[in-house]
Amino acid sequence: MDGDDLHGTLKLVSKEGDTFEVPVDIAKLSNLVLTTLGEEDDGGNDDDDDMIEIPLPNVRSAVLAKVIEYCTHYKLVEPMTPITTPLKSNRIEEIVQEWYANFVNVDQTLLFELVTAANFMDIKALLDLTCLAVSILIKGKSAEEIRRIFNIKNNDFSAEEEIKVADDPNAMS
Amino acid sequence: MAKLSNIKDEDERNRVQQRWTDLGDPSIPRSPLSTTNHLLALPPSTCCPSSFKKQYYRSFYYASPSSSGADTTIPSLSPDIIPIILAYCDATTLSRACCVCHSWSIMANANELWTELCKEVFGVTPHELIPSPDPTRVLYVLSHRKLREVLSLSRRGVVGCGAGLGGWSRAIVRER
Repeated sequence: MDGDDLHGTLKLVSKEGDTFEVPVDIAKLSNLVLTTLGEEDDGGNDDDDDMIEIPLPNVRSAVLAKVIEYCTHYKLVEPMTPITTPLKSNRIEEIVQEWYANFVNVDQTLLFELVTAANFMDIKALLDLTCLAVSILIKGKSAEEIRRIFNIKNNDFSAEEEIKVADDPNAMS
Repeated sequence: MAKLSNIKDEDERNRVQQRWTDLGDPSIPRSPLSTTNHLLALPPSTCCPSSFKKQYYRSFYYASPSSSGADTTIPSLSPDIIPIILAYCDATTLSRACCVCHSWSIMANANELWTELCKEVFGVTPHELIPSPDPTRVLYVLSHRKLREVLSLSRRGVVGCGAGLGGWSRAIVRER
């Protein structure tokens, strides 16, 4: 762990093949990057001239740019307040700092892509934040609306289960 | 019957007819993909009751979700992410999530989620009751109902707040 290049930069390669040069310290917020760096160290066969390249084949450039923006802010400006349950408020602005609340104020498609990217890159703080944003998105929505939001084609309850759900004395109105 | 008569082999015709019958019978497990393959050659015609036609189109729809236009732009989330989202939901949203589909119903009924909610909203834990209610969601629903009952009695002046109500009074104070 004494190598200078740990404080250097590495390359993250998006689905489209675009390369993003990111300081190692910032990229290490991702456990995927951390693990990959660990493996490179163990192997001891990395060329000194070549910057480490980490391919992220299922992260689009636009999404990766957002992820890097998040990690940079987290490392260089202020770390996000950890999200703990029970939530102390219904409003995301009162749970995390304003910058982070604005960060997830995006359209649903991008939000879902951010969730997937945070999960894939294993960035816990970002996964918590984006999942919180999704939970606010479905708050108070009907089952049908939730199905639409998550693109669940139809309920797959058997006829028996459907009756059970409908008659459930424990169901709340 | 015009379409059906195109099928020369009588066995084949019977088999297809049986397929339509099976589709209308909820006791026979359906497999949309395989059923669709069998029926591809046979578009719903006047010989089929409209409910069967609907079933036909539905199974066709299942088989090719990519043809459904705008829906495809919404990326779907991996199933292991859903519990993280549900952990941030309130009781009403969780109850609705139980009705979304089979897998959501299992995830949204998780005892861990409801134990947290019971503790947070009513200050009760399932271990305070013997036997503990299973699923824990039942405890939330009972607490919720009991609280409404107590509140309605209290409004009519039958009982006062904290009059031997133990743990309930905490919740009532919070509600007000």
